[in-house]
Amino acid sequence: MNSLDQKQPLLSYDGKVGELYGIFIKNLLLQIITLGIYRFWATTNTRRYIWSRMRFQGERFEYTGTGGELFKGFLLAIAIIFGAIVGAGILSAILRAITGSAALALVPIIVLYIVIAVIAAGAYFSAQRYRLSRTQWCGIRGGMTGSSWVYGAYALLYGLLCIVTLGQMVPWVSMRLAERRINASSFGSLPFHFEGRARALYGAFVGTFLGVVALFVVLGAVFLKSIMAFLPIGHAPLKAHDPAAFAAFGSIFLFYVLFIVGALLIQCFYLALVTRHVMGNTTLGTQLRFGSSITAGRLLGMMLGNLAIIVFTLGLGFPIVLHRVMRFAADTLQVSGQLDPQTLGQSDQQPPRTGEGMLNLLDHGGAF
Amino acid sequence: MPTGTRYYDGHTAAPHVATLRWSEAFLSIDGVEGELAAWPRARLIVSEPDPEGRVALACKGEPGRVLTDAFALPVQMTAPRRQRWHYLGWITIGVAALALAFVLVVRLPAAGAALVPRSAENRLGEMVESVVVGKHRVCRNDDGQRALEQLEARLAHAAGIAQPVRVVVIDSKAVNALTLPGARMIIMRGLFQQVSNPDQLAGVMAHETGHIARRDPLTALFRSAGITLISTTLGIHLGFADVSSLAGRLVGLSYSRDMERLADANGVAYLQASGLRSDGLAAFFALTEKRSGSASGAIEFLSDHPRTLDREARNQGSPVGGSALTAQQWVAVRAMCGKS
Repeated sequence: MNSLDQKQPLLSYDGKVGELYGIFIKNLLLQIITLGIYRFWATTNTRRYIWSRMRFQGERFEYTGTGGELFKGFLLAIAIIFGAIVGAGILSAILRAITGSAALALVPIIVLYIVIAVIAAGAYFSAQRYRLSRTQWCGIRGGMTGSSWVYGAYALLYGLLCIVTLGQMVPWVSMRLAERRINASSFGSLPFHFEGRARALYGAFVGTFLGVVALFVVLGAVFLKSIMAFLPIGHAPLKAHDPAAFAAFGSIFLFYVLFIVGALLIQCFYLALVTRHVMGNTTLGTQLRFGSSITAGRLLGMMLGNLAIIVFTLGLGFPIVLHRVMRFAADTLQVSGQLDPQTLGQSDQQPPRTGEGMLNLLDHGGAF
Repeated sequence: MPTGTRYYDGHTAAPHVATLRWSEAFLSIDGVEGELAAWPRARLIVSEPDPEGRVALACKGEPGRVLTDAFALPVQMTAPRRQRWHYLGWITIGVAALALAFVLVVRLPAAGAALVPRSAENRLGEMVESVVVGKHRVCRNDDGQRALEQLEARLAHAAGIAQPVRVVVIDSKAVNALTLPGARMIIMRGLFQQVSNPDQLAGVMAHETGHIARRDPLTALFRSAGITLISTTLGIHLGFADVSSLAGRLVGLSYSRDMERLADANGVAYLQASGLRSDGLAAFFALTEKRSGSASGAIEFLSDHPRTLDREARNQGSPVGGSALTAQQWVAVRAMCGKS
């Protein structure tokens, strides 16, 4: 980075929390009125604002997606999943009637489950394709090659690998999946490139893994009594007059919260390392190199702060959190090099017509 | 003249210095060497202005974009869209949103419950009953069962419940009784062991009868559906803790506390109306209080029932009136699960 770059960072975010609140409140009210259907337009409003407040080389980004596209994608996803379920049911009934074998009739149902799992895993890939295709900079949009089915199938197989190895393959798997997502992406005529080395992450990963296991054991020992008390009434009837049952429920809840939050905080060191590794080894064409100055301490402070804001405002502090996250991302993301507008051509990837349907259906939407 | 207008052709990222020419139906974009593009005004999309007061123009179906100053646009393109009405509109929407939330949580559940046909409610009750009974043994002892049904029939008559109430005793050591949809009451064996006389049992049964008379289980179901709907709508899913549904649950609990207070008061009234002693419920609360110690304020906030002490104080009842069960009936009831 030369001295000029440092004075004027290549990438900057200049959003205002007050303006985000205006959008947030408007979205909130309209979502209540429309029983939640406005969600898709709400997401679009927020993204349009955030994209337009991000600048690269002095030029603003533009989000060109619409709520209608997200809504149509959602309806399409419902139709596909519903069709698949009905189809598998009919096929299963036919097989049963013809062969009379219950085992054979189970095959379409098992296939259905696998297909849904592949779709769910691939949903992140197709959502990224949509977002890239709706991101414009100087009239140039992003794009993505490859198939979300292939990505979903790999993600599923890798997931099984992680389960078989009790989580020890997680760093390797996350590198391979990041490679698949990043190397399929491009901006205009320039492809993104990333090559990860899981070896660089293993030390931090093993430490984190042991930390989380230790946290589980310690919390488990502390709450053992109430967990035991809770087990016999695990499927408790509608309500229990018994205050003991209630206290047990409360401490199980506390156990859950402490474990999830604790595990998240322990992971900070590893997450920061992964982010630095992924960003540091990503390039766009030959012109741009990326990097990240994220540290475990800053990430920890960020997460604790966000958690506190969300919890103490019962979710109404969400725009503040979003603002903090964007500022943090723009602060820690480093870009070096220069994009030449004259040679940056348009993406040759056909933009998808609708977007994020499966992600919205199977994962209840993204972050914003 | 617009200043600093730039045109991006959508083929490369290179900016072209441009001048905009507006005619009746078209926007012509002129470059240094002649017209770069002509867009029909009907298909124009104008973005919100950025902090520098610049807007992006695009045309549906065309690849390029124009970046220009918002003040340079023709008036009708950036008309301050009825500013005053704008805010009034949002306020109206806000009020309507609050009203809708209020209706969903406060009014609709009871109305919705009233609309559910009895047959559907009974089927639902059957389903829930089989879940609640689960692995527990159903205690059947004809004398005890008949005594409970007679007592419940008197209470139900006082409460004006048309449908006969189904009473099921299950062999569970929990000190509890609950009401299910479709006029069903489940009593757990632990309750018989906890209470010291049949009047206390009658007090608890009268309380549950209060729930049946108001179809509270069904109303609670509708209410929790409404709260779920609202909290999912507002839902901010952080992936680890769903904060707004937690808040929704707290709201739901406080509503069910109101239901409990009403059921307490109605229960005492039913006992009096059927000519029975009505101090059993208060005595039961006093007993529970003595055995389990007072629940603290924090627990009450999280609990679906009001504090026992308050409930005792509010529902004293009166010792005037007949006893709920005869001595033989009481023995039969306590022997229902084969233990005494």
